[in-house]
Amino acid sequence: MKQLLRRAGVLALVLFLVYTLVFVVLVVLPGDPISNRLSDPDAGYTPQTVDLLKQYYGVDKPAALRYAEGLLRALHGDLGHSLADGQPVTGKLADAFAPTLELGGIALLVVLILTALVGLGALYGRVPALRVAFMSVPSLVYSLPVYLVAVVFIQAFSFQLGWVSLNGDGGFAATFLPACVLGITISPPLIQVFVRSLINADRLPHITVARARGIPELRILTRHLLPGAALPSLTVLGITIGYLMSGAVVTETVFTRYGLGALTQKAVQQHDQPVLLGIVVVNAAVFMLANLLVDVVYPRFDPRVQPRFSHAK
Amino acid sequence: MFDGQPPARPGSVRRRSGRTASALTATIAAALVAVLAACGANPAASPAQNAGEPVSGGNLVYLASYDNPDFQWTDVNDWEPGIIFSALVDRLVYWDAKSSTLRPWLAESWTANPDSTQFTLKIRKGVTFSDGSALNAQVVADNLTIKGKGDKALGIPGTYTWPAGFESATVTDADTVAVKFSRPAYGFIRALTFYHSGIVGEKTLKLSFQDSSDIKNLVGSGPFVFDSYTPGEQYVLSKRKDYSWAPDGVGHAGPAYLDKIIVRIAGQNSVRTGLLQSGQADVIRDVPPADEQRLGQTGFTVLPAKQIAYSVQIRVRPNSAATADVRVRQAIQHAVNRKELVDTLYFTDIWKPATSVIESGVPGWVDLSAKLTNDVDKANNLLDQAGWTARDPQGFRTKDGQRLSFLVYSVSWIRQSQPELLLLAQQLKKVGVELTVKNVDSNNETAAVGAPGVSLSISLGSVPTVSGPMRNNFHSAVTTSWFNSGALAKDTELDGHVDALSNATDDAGYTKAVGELQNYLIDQAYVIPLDTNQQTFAVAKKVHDLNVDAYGRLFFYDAWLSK
Repeated sequence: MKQLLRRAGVLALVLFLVYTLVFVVLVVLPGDPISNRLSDPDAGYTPQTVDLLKQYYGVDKPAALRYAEGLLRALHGDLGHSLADGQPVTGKLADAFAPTLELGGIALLVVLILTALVGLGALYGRVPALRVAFMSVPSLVYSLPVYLVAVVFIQAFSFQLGWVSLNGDGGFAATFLPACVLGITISPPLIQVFVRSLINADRLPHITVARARGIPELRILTRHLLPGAALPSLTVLGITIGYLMSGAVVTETVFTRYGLGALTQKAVQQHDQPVLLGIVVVNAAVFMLANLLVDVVYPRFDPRVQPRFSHAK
Repeated sequence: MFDGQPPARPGSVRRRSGRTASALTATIAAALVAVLAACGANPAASPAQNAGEPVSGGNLVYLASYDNPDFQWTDVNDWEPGIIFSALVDRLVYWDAKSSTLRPWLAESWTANPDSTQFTLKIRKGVTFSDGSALNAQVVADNLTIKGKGDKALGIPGTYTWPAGFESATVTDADTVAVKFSRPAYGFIRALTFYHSGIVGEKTLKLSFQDSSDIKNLVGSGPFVFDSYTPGEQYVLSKRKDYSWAPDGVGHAGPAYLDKIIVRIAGQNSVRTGLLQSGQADVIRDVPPADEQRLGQTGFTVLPAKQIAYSVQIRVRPNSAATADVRVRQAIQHAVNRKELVDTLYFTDIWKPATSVIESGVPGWVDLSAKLTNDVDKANNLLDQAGWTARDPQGFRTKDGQRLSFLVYSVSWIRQSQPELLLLAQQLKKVGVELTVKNVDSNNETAAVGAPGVSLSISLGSVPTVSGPMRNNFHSAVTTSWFNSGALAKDTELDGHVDALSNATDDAGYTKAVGELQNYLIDQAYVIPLDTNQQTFAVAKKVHDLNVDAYGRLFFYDAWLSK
């Protein structure tokens, strides 16, 4: 429990640093939607109007003051307002989070299923060539860009075969298709590690002994091989959840889905500082929570890890 | 404080292009579509307009190329919100583009005094807003006052597409509004046809800039009402069943035919085209030039939407020794080969070389094609006369060791602006002029294009009335404009032409002034027109009578779907 609190403290500190760093970067970068709109010489805004709008949005204040105010507000859960459309950032993030969670959740399932399939294929393939084929899946898929897979999937399954409707009434299929794209394209690192660990575990002497003793293969797999392979895979799984976020940017844009990815794409395009700041903080939090979860689950698979966790200074 | 000039800021037609699509994706997708479409496309059919008697019912799916949920009623200036806004909010006057006449809409009639400084608007009776409140003179006067002057307390800037000098809008009786300007405002009635001049309900009028930007708070009297919005995904608009105040000159009276309009956001060019082809959408905007021909040949109607706007053009400002010399500017004018530009970059004949500073639909337009000839010899002679006779090893002209070179930025909101400028650079190279084309991200566009070292910019913009924008863009009194910043000399003759336009009080005077100003801008080569400023929509066969209004925005009211 104490360790968990300590980890929570670290999490808060990292979030604070992320907030600060991103704020600095955004201040240093030139341009924001308000200034851009106001500085357009042909827009006909009088100097008074410019002052009024700048005051209204608070962009005329010194950066340090904006930082302090923003941080104070953020502590109360208020991330300010979008410079592009004036909506509260927390509301925008909340609206965007649910569909991304749905997409990401299903994509994660796809990743796990793919990992299991490829892993078992590489281990139990009937002929060596098949096993090699399964083992080369990760490196092959890894070289496919997300947008290419997305465009090909849309063309094939929606436009040509007509299996999936993307005009808003597609139901589960409309989420499943992009989730497959996302899942397939972020799965290679996890599959790679899982397959390697599985095959390494398979070569260990005690497995050979177990097989020699006639222990059923299913038991060997579930009792000896999988737990061994799960450990390194779990770490990569935590990182894969981070990839979900970046993969969602392209997937959501191509599939015309709304979500954190689409929001990110737009906020970057519009230089919408408050929204970008909110997105980065939320992403950092998700990433860290996923890894925290992995750390908590780790000892259940390997008791040896327990001491390392509790020895954390 | 808000009664500044009403310019056409570039934002008014921002985002002609869907720039999010990476070229590679588009190319791959186009190739795929081409291959796959060969297997399953329906045979070519004639455009499906005017097929039988209209029927009511059905939902139309329109694919927008981006989501910009900014519906601020004095300021809405972007393509997609403009289209939705136009379906929800009526205007006082309707511009019938077919017959080029102004027709009554929410205003039953109007009069102007001889010097065009005072206008009287008679407001139509029996009109209600979507919240049930009635349209009357008071709400119209309140609308016009905020549009004319802005509202400091609410943080709302005035609309910038009106003629300058708005003074007041007052109620004279239950259904009459009197509007006063401090100077001739000949184009005022026409400005009322632009969607910026849409009339909103009292409830929306009371809201701050931020709150009134929210489509949920937009109360209009249009044939459709707002139903729901899923951020980044879709808008749903529903038919208003008791609508009975459509302007004369449109296809029918009474409620609209469509039950619902579903506006889906689809940012990728290839995805929009694919969804249309696979029957998952009925109308798409922002059709890539490469797709126009193919869609047209496979049973879809390609609907060009010409703009009431400036043509796509290069503006030259006299802020350097080279561009302050009229001969150099004229040389550029004649070095441009507009036909080659259009033939190379577009594949259908709906795209044409520009004919003047403004598009042909704008009142007062004159065809100046005869002056916009491609004449390399003439361009070379002009440059020789201007003293740019020496050549450097790369073949560019020099004077006193300085190369005749210009920097121009391609901008995100003009489709094809980069290929157009690159081709232009090749054309200018033939007469020894260097044109460097650079990209800049959209947030730094304004600053980059405005930098002192830049003398050329690619531009366009809506002009509901020409007088306001022309004044803002070119009159030397507007010292902050792009054109006048850093100008080496004041062009009093240009000012004279702009003043004549601003001071026009009748049709004849206005038309004459617009004509003279166009001629002057072309003769002096302050403006180098390139090609037509338009939009393209592609429409499925089952959609009938879908047209665009005078400003190129979709006019959903008459549209219907065959069963």
